Amino acid sequence: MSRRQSPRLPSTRLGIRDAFREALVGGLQRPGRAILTMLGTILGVGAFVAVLGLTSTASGQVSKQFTVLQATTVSVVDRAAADSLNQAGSADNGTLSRPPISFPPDADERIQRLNGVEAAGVWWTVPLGDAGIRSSRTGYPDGEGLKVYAATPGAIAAMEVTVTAGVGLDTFMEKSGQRAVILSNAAATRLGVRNLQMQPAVFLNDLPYTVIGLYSDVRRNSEVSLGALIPTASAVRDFGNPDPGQMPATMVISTRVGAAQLVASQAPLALRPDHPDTLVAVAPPDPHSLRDSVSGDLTGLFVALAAVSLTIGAVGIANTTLVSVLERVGEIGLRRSLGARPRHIAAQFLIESLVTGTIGGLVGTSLGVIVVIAVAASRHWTAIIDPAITLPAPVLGSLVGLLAGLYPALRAANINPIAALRS
Amino acid sequence: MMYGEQRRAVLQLVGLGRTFPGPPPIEALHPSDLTVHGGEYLAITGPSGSGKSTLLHLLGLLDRPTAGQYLLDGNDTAHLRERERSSLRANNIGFVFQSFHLMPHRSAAENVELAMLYNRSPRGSRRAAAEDALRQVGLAHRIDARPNTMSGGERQRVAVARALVNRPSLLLCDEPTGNLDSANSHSVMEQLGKLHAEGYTIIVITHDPGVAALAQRVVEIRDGYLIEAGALGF
Repeated sequence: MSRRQSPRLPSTRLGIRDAFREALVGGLQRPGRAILTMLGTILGVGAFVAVLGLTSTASGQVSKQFTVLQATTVSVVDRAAADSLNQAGSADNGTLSRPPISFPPDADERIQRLNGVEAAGVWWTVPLGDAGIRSSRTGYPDGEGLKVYAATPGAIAAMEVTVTAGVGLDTFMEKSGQRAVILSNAAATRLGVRNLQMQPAVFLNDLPYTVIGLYSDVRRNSEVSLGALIPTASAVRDFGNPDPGQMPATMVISTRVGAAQLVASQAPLALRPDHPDTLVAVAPPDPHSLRDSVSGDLTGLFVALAAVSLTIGAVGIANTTLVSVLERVGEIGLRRSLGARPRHIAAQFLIESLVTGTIGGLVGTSLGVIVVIAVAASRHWTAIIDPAITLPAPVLGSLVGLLAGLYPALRAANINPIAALRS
Repeated sequence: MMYGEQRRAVLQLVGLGRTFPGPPPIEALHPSDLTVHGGEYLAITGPSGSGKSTLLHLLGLLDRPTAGQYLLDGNDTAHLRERERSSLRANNIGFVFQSFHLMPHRSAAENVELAMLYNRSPRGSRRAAAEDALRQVGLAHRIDARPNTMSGGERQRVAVARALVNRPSLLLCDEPTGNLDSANSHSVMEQLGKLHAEGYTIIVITHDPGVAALAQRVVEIRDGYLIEAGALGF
């Protein structure tokens, strides 16, 4: 039997405006439920925007701090001394057998001539014997565990040691090999040194050193902030060359921003033009790759978390839309009796979940941006909000809504109108 | 559907039958013939389980027959595609259901407008048409009322307005008074009587002999067989 053509029968249709209006009215019939449904998407998209915004804001902040300290710090290590230690195969060969310092006596001045160097100097851990540092020659070893460092005035300047009382170690003391020491506040407390007026002395391997100053903060080589500092000339004279087993002589260089790599490449040659290979310069990591790796690690983790929230949001929308479909079976039957085709029913529910997802996405994006700005403001950071993430974020909500609505919409379209009208 | 067209056959069943495949197969409607002319007021009556609903679904194009022909306004519906059957439902048939099927969150006028959503009615003219239809069923004062503030009779009259707003060739009423008390039943049946007087073709499916008695012509359905109970002077 052939189909009878009926050109007189125009297909029923559902205009775009009508479809959106029906979806909006349908979705807003239960505002409380609509808001709860949106919550998953709001949280997911909000978390997504906030996490990415906070990560870029925080990593911008992190890299700022890294660049100030790390990116302007170069250290030059005495490799010759370390190599000789490896050849000897023993950490303690006695004072006389320790390798000589590879740095020339005028190392600080040589390095100062390089472009981009702000301050530089040699320092090492003084190889004290068992007596160590103590407040009296015969008393209780109250300085046990405290480390004493030898440092040139250049090194002290490069470490940015903040002297809080008395005076620091200057060039005169260095050149003349004075038995003078400056103590960190922590060491001063341990050794009972409170008042410098009385010119107190502490004993290093039973040799008296006059305490001429106290210091607190050390920005570079922060381990120094818990010890004591003496001139290098005194250290070599009284305690011998540095022990590579503890710490070989090392030069710390504070550079201007951006000069570190260049200074590092030039330093060994400037210091030892005859044997540049005896020294090894360690440059800081490239700040850009550092920041990228930090933000990369964090972003990956948090985006995964945001994706989990979005999935939960999608399941929420799918679930509510499905419940809504089942609750509105009668309405579906009525619409079918009024000429709606299955595709019209599907479109209505799909648009409903799309609108839910989009509104959730918009609200979530706004909340995410607010969170980023609030956190940045409370920490006095610069908020970094990338439009490439913020602008498409609501679309993410729409996408979630659309995907979540697919199954319920198909279910709704396939409902038998006869059964639906009976309900 | 107006008076001048009354002798035209709006609806014609030729050996129309419906068998549900089962197992076991059930012949819910045995092949039957029926012709309804324009302007006729027909009641299809019978006890529950007799095949009334099956016939209603076939007449309303919600189901397809397994045998015979169903011509609605000259269209052989059994062989139409779904989109064409939807078009006939939207334009040529007005449904009135026992349970009203009104949207509780929408006003009377918005409920009536729903009937014009799918049939390409211009958006701008829907409101006026809905208000006209509500006036026609005596609800001019209830245009913006919500169904939950209305009596059962008023709700059913909103449903009648929704059914007639597209000026269909057939009003198909399924137990229109089934959920109403006698006073409200009376008002609804009175309304149907008025519409019949205006020239509408009406089929009422009911198990209530009182409702059936108000119709001009009664067809009985029993155990799936359609029996003409008698023509009342048509």
